[in-house]
Amino acid sequence: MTVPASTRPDVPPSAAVSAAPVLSVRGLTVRLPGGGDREHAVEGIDFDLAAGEILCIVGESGSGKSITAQAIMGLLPKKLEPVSGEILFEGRDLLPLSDREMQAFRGARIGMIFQEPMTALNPVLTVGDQIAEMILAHRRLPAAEVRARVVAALAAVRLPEPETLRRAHPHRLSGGQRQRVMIAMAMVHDPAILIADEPTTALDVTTQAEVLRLIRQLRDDRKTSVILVTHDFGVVAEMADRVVVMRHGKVVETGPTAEVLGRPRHPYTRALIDAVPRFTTGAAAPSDTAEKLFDMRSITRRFVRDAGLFRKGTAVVAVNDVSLSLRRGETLGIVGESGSGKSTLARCAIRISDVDEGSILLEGQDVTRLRGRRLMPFRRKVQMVFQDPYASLNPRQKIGKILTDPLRVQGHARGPARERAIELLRLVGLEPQAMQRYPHEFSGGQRQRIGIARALVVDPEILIADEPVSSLDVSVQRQVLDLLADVRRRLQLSMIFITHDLRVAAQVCDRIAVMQTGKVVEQGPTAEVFGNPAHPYTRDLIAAIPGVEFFSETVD
Amino acid sequence: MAVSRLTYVRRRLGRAVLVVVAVVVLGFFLIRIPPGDMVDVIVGEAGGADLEFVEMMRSHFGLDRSLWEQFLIYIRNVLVLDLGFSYQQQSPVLKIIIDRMPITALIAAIVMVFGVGLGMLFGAIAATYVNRWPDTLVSGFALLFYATPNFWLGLMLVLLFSIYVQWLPPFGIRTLGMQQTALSGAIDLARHLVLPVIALGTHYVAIFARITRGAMLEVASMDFVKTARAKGLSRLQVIRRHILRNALLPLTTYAGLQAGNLIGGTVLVETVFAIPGLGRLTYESIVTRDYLLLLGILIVTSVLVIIVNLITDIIYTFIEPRVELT
Amino acid sequence: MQRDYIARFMANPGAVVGLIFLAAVIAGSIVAPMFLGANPWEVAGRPFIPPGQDGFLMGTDMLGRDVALAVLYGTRFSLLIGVGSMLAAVLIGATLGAVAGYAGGWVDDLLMRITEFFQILPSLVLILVLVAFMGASVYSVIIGIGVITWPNVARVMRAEVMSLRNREYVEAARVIGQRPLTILVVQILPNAMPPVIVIASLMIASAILTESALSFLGLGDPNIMTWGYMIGTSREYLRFAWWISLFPGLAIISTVLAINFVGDGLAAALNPRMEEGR
Repeated sequence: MTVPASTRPDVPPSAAVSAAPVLSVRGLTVRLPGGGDREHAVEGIDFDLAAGEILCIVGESGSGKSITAQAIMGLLPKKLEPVSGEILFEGRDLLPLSDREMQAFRGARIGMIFQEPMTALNPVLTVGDQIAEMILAHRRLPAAEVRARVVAALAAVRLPEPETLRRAHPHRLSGGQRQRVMIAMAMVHDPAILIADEPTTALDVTTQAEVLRLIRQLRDDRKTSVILVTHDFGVVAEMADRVVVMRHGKVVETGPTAEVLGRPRHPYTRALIDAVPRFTTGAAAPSDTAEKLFDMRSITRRFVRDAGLFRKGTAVVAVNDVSLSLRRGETLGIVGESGSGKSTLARCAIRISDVDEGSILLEGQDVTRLRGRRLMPFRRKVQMVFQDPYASLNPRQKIGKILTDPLRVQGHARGPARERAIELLRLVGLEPQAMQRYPHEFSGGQRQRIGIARALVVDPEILIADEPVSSLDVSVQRQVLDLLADVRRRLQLSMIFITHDLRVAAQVCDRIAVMQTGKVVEQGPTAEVFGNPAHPYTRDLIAAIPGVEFFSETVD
Repeated sequence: MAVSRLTYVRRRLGRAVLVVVAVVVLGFFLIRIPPGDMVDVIVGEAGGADLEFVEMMRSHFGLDRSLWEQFLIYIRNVLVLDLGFSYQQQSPVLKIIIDRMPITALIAAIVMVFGVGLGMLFGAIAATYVNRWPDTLVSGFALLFYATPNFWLGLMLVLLFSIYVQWLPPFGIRTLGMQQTALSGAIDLARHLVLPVIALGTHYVAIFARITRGAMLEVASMDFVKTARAKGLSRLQVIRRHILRNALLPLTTYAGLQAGNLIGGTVLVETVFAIPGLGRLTYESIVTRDYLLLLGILIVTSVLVIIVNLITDIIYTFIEPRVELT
Repeated sequence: MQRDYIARFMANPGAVVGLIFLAAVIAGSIVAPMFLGANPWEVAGRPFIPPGQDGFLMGTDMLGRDVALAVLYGTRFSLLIGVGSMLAAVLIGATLGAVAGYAGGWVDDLLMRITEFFQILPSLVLILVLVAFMGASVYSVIIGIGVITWPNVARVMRAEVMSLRNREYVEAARVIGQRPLTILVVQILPNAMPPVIVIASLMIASAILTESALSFLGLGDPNIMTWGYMIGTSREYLRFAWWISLFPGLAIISTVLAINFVGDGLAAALNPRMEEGR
């Protein structure tokens, strides 16, 4: 079924092997403080980084990939101690070096960028000052020269108006721009190695594509070796020359990308690759004959920011004249990046947010202005699954209460409610004993199952899922998506599925609506919207999917 | 919407004026709490005041008129800065307060400077060596001095330094009967202020140390500190330029909030050391039941605190670029 | 859940010591009158007996009263006033803070202006005014301290409620149709309590300090012998009867310290980070 496209045909496969490796990690072992689920954070890590190559370290959360990256820089948190191993760079072992000795390497010979661009820059200093600080940390230069280099560094990462931008504070820049600043800062001394620890995980998909493209370009121009830590195999397919797969603190498989992706040897690698959602195009178009179950007409929702007792505030239009409908039995996907308004729309649809203009009809009945008791029938028929498994369950309530509350609110008695709750726990694959436990005793995937059970306990007809798998590891994602598909089929649910990940949307949804800054720019059957996108934004979104060539699937 | 700093200051000033008005109005209602005739309240412990004075008071405050009219009279008086007349001191309330302010202001300023300065220093040391002995030492003393009442500390200091070893004078601000040149006068004043400043100040060193330590530890866990280390900066550079600089933000806010507290502290310390300042005046007005004077002190000190808060807010806009100045 | 809290609290040595100290002191102040009988106002010996002589552990004061007994008695009222004023402040502050945080909008703005107003007034001066005007008694002291401290509770409660208001499990409660008041009480408040509990415990300590200042200045309830009162009335004898001032002060310090240790232990035990799970 999978038709793997060749990866990176422009880079000769063994260009890296000929020269001596730039970095060699041998037997790196870092101890965890007592009481953890394992003894070592990472154990026996071995890999080489060749000159000018992009090496991806890929793994799920808890695999130890970030710890490995931090260990190279000597930036491990105090609690984690390296126990044994070597990190060979430019003829020296970095591991036993003191903090002071490492300072000469950090920034000058090895650069590092981190995951959260929003918090990775000092908020009280200007961007230019922070880059200047980097320059002056390793070199003595006159002020004018430093300024010139700062401007040059900003220009090298394609930031607009570098002369003006350098005087801006971080909060004035977007996430993508901040990440570019981070890269500019890390590259200013032309380091031999750039370590990027999940640099695009917190970014929108189009921004992610730009940043990845930038990293690749810098490598091409300056022959920097790059270690890219990620959890996303799409990024691996897109960027990596070679791959290191980690799990539970150990290296599970290494090799050139084409090999690892095309012919994975370790069963874990195989499972991970299988779990990556394929961007399917060509699925059957749903019939147009089914009735409109849920109809949103010309929905507009505005917010007012910074209003006070004596102040008007500024108006923001979050959802702008959006019309969507859900037919019985189908799954409608709403895709968009942050700021597209999809979450706000979801909250309007589920009626926990008011609608400024427009109407919502459920089975032909107008529910837009209903409140309180009269909204209860609606609440039984339409339910929601949330994104964050750690925040969607009240940490101080037992699972039993969380699952029976929806029924109690609807007026059911305690006994029957409990029985129904247990029935649903079984449906989502959990034991009845869970009723007595608290959320923190469960894993992320299990909590999401409980969230699904909670949504289903009142026997709804429509399920609105707001990014239900975005916070989960890829392997767990797969399980939860399978569960949702199963439940959908068995209970004959109609679903609105909101996500920023087009791959997931392609797999799950019958019809798609693409949103951008509050408006729907394109909608239609999945096959059409993704197979033959009409709107340029849709085309941008699809092109931005990392590794889209590899992880595509054409279904006839 | 961001506005210029000037507009922001103007708006904050407007808000401050409203708060002053609210304090004044509060004063009007407070003075009516004590039971009995208002005149008795005003005259206080002076006992039988002469009839002329009593009549003057009644008409001045309009005590024979309706509550609303009394309120208007009160507001009018305040607007011309007439906070009443203290029968016992035989002087307008506002004048008494202003006469006694300088020494209290001096003590408060010294305490604030030392409190913040030393507090930041010790707090930074504690945060830098967190969970090691310097931290334990600093945090331990900070906790100890936080728990120590300043008036008791003052008494113990007097016991030790004035009675036992006789190095420093136990009360007042001037040695009586001493020939005063400018320099010797200044030194004499300084010697008299050492113990009061220590008694009042240790509490503030303690709390600023704790706040600084907490703020620095919280900032140290933020991502941009990791970035700074990844640049190859030394630990000291990271602490100075990134951690401390960002810890200043909550510290400034906190310092402003302590102003009101500080005034209360001067009441106690000046009483212990018999310093003729505003604090001692407060104590005197309680003992002599000079309620008009007491109320005047409340209003004036509130205004001072509001001014200090305004200044702190303005300073804050200079050090925090994210403030939207709305 | 409760077991986890208790376990974590017990793991903190300072907190345990503080708790034991407080328990001992409270027990002592209840038990003492039963055995040593008498009341501290009673003359027990000659005036100005130094500590350690004639069986007086802390000596006698200027009227010959037993200092140790007085210090022990002082405990009751200090704690009574401390807890009483804390309850008053929490009652007002927690309610207003929860309403402000949950309602948002102009309600929040209005309540915040009121809170700020009370915070701006110099607290000791205000309480002096209040207690002087109302007449010094246990009740006016409790009310006075309550009036000057409730804004701190309100701030903390409001911040917690505001941050919890947008949590997904609160949204989920709305999705299932729970009513707003029910959500506030059942979903939000239990999660908002930890920081409020911590600040409440620390407020008992600061109330003791404030009360001692008041009675030092002569504005405490004249019928009860508190530590501040003892320090205040013995000022003029400092030179040769220093022990009358020393011991009550030490009592204040140790009690406040103990409460602080317990408060820190509570803060660590109730640490919400446990719920993050990650």
